Amino acid sequence: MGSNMRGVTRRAFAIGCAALLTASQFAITAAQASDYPAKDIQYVVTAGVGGGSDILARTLAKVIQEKQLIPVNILVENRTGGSGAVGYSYINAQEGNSYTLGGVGVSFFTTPLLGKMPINYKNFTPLAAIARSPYILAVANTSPIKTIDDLKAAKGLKIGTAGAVSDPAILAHITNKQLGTDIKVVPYDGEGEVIAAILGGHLDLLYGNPNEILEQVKAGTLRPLAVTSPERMTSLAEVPTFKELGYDIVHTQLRGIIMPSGVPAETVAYWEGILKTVAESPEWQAQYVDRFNETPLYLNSAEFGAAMVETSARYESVMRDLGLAK
Amino acid sequence: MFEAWGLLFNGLAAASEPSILLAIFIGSVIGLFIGALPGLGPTAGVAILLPVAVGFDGTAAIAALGAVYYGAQYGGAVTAILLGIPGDASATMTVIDGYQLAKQGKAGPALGISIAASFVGGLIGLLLLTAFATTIARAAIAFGPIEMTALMIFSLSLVSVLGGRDPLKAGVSLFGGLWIGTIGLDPIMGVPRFEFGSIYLFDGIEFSILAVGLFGLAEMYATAPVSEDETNRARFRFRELLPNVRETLRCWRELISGSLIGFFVGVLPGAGATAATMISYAFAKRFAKHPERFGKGAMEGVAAPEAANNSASYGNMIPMFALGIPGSGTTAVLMGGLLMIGLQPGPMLFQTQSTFVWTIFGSFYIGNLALVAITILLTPILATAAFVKPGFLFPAVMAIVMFGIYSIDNSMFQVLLAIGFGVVGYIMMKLDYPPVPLVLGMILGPILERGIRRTLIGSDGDVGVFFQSPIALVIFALTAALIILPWWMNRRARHAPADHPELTPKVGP
Amino acid sequence: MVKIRHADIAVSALLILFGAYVAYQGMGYGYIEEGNPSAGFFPFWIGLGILIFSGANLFNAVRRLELIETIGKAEIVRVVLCTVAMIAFVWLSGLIGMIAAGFLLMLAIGAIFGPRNSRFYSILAVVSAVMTAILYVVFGSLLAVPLL
Repeated sequence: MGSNMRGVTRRAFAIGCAALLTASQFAITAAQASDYPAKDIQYVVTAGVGGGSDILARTLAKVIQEKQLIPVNILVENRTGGSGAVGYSYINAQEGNSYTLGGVGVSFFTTPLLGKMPINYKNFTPLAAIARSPYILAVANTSPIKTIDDLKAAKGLKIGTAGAVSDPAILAHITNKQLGTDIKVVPYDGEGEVIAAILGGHLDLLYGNPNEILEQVKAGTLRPLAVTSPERMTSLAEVPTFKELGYDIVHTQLRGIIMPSGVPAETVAYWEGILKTVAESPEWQAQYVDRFNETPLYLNSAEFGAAMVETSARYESVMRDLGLAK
Repeated sequence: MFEAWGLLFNGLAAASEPSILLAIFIGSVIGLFIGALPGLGPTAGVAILLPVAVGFDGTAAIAALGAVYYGAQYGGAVTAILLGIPGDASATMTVIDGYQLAKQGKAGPALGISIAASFVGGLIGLLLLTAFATTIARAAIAFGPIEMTALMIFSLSLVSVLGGRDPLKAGVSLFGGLWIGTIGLDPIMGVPRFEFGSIYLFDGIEFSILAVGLFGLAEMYATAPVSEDETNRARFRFRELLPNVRETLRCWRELISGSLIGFFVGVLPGAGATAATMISYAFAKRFAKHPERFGKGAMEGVAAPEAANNSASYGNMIPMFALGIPGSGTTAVLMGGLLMIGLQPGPMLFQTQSTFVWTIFGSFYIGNLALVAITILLTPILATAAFVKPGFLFPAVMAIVMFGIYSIDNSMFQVLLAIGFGVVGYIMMKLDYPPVPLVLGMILGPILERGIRRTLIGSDGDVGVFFQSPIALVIFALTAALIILPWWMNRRARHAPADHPELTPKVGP
Repeated sequence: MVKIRHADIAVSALLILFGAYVAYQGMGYGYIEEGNPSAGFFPFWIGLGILIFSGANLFNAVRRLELIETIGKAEIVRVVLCTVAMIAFVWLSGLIGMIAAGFLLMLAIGAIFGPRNSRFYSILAVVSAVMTAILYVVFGSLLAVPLL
């Protein structure tokens, strides 16, 4: 794996993010007390280009460069495969390397639980969480179901989930448990397929990211029933949370950043500072939070670490019920 | 509908602005090039260009990304025809007849028909996209798991015409392909299947890796080396480097049927361009006057799948533009592009971003014309590759294949997998196992399995629901006809051995 | 020299075992769960399909005594050499990098398929060097692939 580093430096010139490159040329403020960072930072994305965690990584890199927060470049690199296992194993192998960043996605928790990745969240250093994405339970606008109570009374409903082991799938099972319903869970391969099946009348319900659901709600094709965030969403102020309806369905996807294990405490503190500045900046608000309808948030390393333990436990309990966790 | 043409005219005008023309040109050339690299297809192309393109102005960025998408469909055919290596997954069916043509020294006409087919397919796809996007999108979502199951059973029954000489071996090949399709995480239960403890098999096997090994590497193994002055390839003639207009026009039926099949299969969420090429190839062979010519260098065998994959790429975009949902892997990346330039794709895109959408559509028309011009000019140069001696050609091709496969996932595991499939493909070739049923099984099997299992979860295991959908019933009837008709016609032919049995009065048994 | 008929029999026999393995594994993934086909339902039938078709195939191959075609020794050696060269490329890539390994791979493949005289080798070396440069530019720089 060590030889990969050579490829990385070559990639420095090739990645071609012209915007990033030019901005950073003038970013040498040299105000840092220590000499960290002395070279370019590699940000490993474990999913493909254009997906949620990729967009997060590229937007984050862009905002950091625009604000000239660090004197070096952040190079985003996609290492896909193995439901995240390839990328996370790669980051793990960079132990003690404070020039490798990684993003936390759902597979960060679920793939280790499937028993196919020998490492888990404990093998990484949490840096910070910089946004949060709740899930919205929605039906087609033509559906007779208007509230959660209608949902509980209805029979023979089908919910589509993007993926068999994913946030929507896990939420669907939690929902059945909490509401005492018997909704059938039908896994699909992606959010797009699920929405198409809802619009075509082949499914009744779905859990989706605000990013995917809000446009359909605005267009009047989908109707939101409830959200999984602890508080109501500003963009859907009239939609209740499960919590206020009295159901313990609280689950949001944390957009967090990690490093390999064994990095010095100063490095963690350095990145906490950078990421806090980003999370609270108007640029981040405009280019990420508003554009993708996410919820602004900042958690420091310790808080994010605690959230990781909690999140993993939640996945583990549902996946055990389903007989998936090993 | 009439207003659509007015809007399109404005779009064309807007798209002929120099900055957008430049974006189209850059995108087309990159797409053509990436499509031609073995293993890398439109998804890889769009993904590679995305981080760069978002630096452009919004409309130009998406015009360039779109151009990469359809440019890759043109490019995929080049390596398929010249080297027998599918440049991307949807060019696999093009290998079958295209490479035979090249080996017979007709590389030029074969490239010519693929360009013509790409253009016709692209044009028909575009016209349908322009005129009926919203209507077609609404019809496409009527296809749920039940209808998808029916369509896949219909498609798999086409194996009866694609089987080859030995039906038993075709059966082994088909089931082998179905098995490969089950590798990786089970799409419904989430448990890993046949992953042999490797994280690299977790997400299944990338089809282009199988196709490159099975077709490209295997073919190379089987080619005998030659001494310096003799050549077992066709003699070099300049005329054979040029496209042949007359032969191209003769394939008009396949061009049109391929385009239509490609478009409508491409629109369906979860089906895709590769499935479309297989269905259109089988359809063309099934209804050909001389089906025995297929697989031995039939121009129609290049025309049908090439028209289908280009048409499918526009069909694919319909759910994205009309409903705001990605219909395939490539459109999912394109949608990521829309988001990154600050446009919210959604059902309102046509209304809220009308100028943008029509400019993009306009750029598609311009891009297609540009690609025809570029590829026709390149044809004679490219076609000479078919005459390069294996001693020089194979080393270069092998190295490109290794690098191309590696770059799919930046992993050597995939390279080893392709080498393994090369050996499997060689053994299959020598023992007369047809490879086409295998690729058919691998592509269509997973869609069938998902369809059946999703349906049965919804119906609590009741199989009766498959016969309650009118669309599914029609497809099942077609399937039955496809199986029964040849048998019935055979019987009639035996009774009345004339060329036109319907014109000959029945003589009686 | 390998007789096609013998190879056919051997491959069919192996595929029967393989089909049985796939079907057996399929049962292990669960055949039916809560009245619905589970993860092993399709693998079970696929395994059975491979088994049945290969069985019939084996029966056919055993009977086809008239099939006397063979595969020449030279061809088999070539297939083995090509495969070894490619696997060596994968192994060497980890040691000396993909670019250098790619150059060596091209020389090896050229030697397998070419006429093996000094004139050929000298042209091959030039062609391979040029191709290596092209590979570096295309994959390493333009496509920004993190090469080994």
